[in-house]
Amino acid sequence: MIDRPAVMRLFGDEARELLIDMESLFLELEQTPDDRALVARVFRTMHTLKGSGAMFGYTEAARVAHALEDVFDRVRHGRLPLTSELLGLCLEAKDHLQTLLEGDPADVPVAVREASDALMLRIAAFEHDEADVDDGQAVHAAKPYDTGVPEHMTISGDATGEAEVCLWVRLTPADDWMWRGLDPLRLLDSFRGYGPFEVVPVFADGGLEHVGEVPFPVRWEGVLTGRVSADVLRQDYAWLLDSENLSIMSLGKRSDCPPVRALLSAAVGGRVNDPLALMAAARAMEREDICNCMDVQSVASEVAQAAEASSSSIRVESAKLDRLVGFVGELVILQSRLSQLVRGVPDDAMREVAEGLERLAGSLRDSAMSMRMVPMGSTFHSFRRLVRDLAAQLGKKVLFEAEGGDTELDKTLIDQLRDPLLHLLRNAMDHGIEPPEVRLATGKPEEGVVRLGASHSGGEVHIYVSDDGAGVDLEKVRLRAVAMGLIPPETEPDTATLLALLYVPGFTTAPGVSEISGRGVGMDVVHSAIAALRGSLDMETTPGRGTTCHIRLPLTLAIIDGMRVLVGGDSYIVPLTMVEACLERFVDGAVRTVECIEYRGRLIPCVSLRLLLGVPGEQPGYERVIVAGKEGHEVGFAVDAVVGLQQAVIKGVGNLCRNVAWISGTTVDADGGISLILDVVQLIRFAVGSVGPEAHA
Amino acid sequence: MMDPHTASPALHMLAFRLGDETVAMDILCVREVLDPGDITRIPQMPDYFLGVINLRGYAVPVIDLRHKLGMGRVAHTPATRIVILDLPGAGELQLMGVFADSVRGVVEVATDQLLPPPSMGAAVPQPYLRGIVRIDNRFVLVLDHERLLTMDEITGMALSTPSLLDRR
Repeated sequence: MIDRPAVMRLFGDEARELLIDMESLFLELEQTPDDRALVARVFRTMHTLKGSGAMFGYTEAARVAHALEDVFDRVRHGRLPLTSELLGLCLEAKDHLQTLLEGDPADVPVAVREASDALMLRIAAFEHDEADVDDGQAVHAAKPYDTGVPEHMTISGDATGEAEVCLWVRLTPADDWMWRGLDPLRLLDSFRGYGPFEVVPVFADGGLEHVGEVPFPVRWEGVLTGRVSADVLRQDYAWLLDSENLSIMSLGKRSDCPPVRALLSAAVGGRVNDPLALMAAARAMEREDICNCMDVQSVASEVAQAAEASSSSIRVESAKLDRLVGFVGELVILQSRLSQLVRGVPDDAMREVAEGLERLAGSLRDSAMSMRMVPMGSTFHSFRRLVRDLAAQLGKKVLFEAEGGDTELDKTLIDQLRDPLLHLLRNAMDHGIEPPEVRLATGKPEEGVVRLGASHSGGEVHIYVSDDGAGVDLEKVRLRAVAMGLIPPETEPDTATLLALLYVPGFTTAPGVSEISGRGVGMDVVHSAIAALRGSLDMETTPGRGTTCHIRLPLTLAIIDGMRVLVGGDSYIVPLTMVEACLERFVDGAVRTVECIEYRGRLIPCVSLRLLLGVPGEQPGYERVIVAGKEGHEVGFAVDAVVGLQQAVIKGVGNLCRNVAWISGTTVDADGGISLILDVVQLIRFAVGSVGPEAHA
Repeated sequence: MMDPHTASPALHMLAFRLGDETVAMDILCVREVLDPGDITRIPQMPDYFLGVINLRGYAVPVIDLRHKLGMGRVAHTPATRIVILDLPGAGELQLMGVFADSVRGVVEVATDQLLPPPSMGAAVPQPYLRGIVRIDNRFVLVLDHERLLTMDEITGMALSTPSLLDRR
């Protein structure tokens, strides 16, 4: 029996990615409906989905995909305009396909089946609208898709912009194909979707006359002529087959290729055992001349490229990666313990080993961390759909712009960032962007703009969500705060204070509860979620001009570079990305928790960690001051001593640290003790707040 | 020895001393017993909260149970131990260490020997008690580990950051 779940998993992951691709293509097409290359890509995605869906038994999904493919074929040929209505329908169809792919293909509920029928009728309606429709097509769309094999199709050149080429395809089934539910014959059939495909089976021992067992081809050799490049074909099948199962070589333009038949007979004759010999044999058969070195070279390099392309990335379960990062973390701790021990040993050889290990552990840490880094693009993409649907729901016109999608971030962080970003985007759409008529009345373009961006800056990632809407009504916030008893009625707090009120749990200025937001569970959740990721959230707003929410995050949650400092008998870690400078101060008499010191000609607040954290012991007369912060928000922290740099593997203390102010986690020291990691952002906020603007005066 | 046919199911408990009292806890919630090592203080915590210890790379919070129950402080003697408990938390287990003046060992009692806690007069406040058993002619207080330290208490132990408004 076929191991069904494994097949489903294999297909499921890839189908999901295909659907994500498809959705983003639809959304891009919405902006540029005339982009023929995009249309061609949509078409190809649908085609792949249909073919592989059918191959894995998802006939219902294949049926829907087939109908979509038909419509897009007409769009491709310029016979059907790509209206936003059609795209809306396509998006619906994509969602429906997702439902189908998540369900059991063998048991599609009647309701779902009816939903597909309804959807396909609506898709078919588009074809009826066209004058030059041939009736066969339109009916075909609503007809059940039966064979499960993609039918013969030629890709016409105008859409893909590719010249007709000749490709050599070699399919070698692996032993486990039967277990994976892969049928080589169906696979071969699926190649016919790209163009005329001639194929011959190759048997072991070169022929059928082998007696005693049922002959089964060891591989198939085929020649495909069409307007699809070898790279595209490889990509289309890369998810399914390894490079040793499928090799595709370009034989060149069709016009200068030897007749296909001759090639194939060469294959059957056993004259084609390796790619180089293939070309040589082909050339020799067609024109008596020997193929020149250039051709051989190009085939050879192409084969090399193919091997490289298919091995350049692998899928790994993220739990495995997490475990690896965990081990690397332990290794880093042990390594720094070793380094510390060796420091006092007068043995050069041992020190050398420790240094080598230190370098290696550092590189291992970096590469293990980089494995978990993924671009934010796919997250951004899913928001595009959200904004589109939300705009329609709210009756607003919104243009969504995303930039910096290639910014890489720890996968765990990205996952945890999704909800906060979702909240911020919803806020921007619901509270920020005004309805079209209001926008027109205030002299703004009808269409609002919501931007989402990400960039790297030092060891941090900066993410912003901005809108060009009405901005936060600060007066309304003030009145609401007064009503809630958060501030006395007569005070006039500054903008920053008012905006900070938005983070108070239960605070909302929305007049009523809408379906999207306004339940008073918004900004406080976002704020604490970002804080839990050791990040910070800042808001800027200009009345009538819009609001920008700025998120700063550390690159990763697991390991940071830190500076270890001592206060009394306690040891603390300051994240190195925040450290600006190291000063000193002499103390005469008692100190206050927050004082001022001079730094680069300015007065900045200086916090006595000893007093703030209640460290027991006597106040020393000489203290080191670590200056931490960014962009004019520096704050000094007075400590007893600076031990040095340390890689800190961050360990939470369960729920404990969540409410411990100014501590973001713990780490195990080289000597086996525990250091607390300071939450510098919180500390800065506290220090700046308690000194106030007068310190800068 | 009890007759296995008539006895009710046995409870295994770890018995340890807090001051003059012998208390016991269900063995199923006890992860291990350690010798006290270095404890890292965490600022802004109530004073029964002693800090965190390094348990094979994990930071585990430790409390002075005796102090928390209002029975004075644990004296640091060679007999002092840290009992590591698995506390049921929000969907995950949270490790928590408690100091004990000494650990007596594992005792076995039948379920029906577990009597309801006295409504008053016990050394341990009644809400923290699961019951009381008599072992070797002495009453042993059985602590309810689930109520000993609730998750709310753990997360609420720390003072939260002073908000913007508190500072004016």
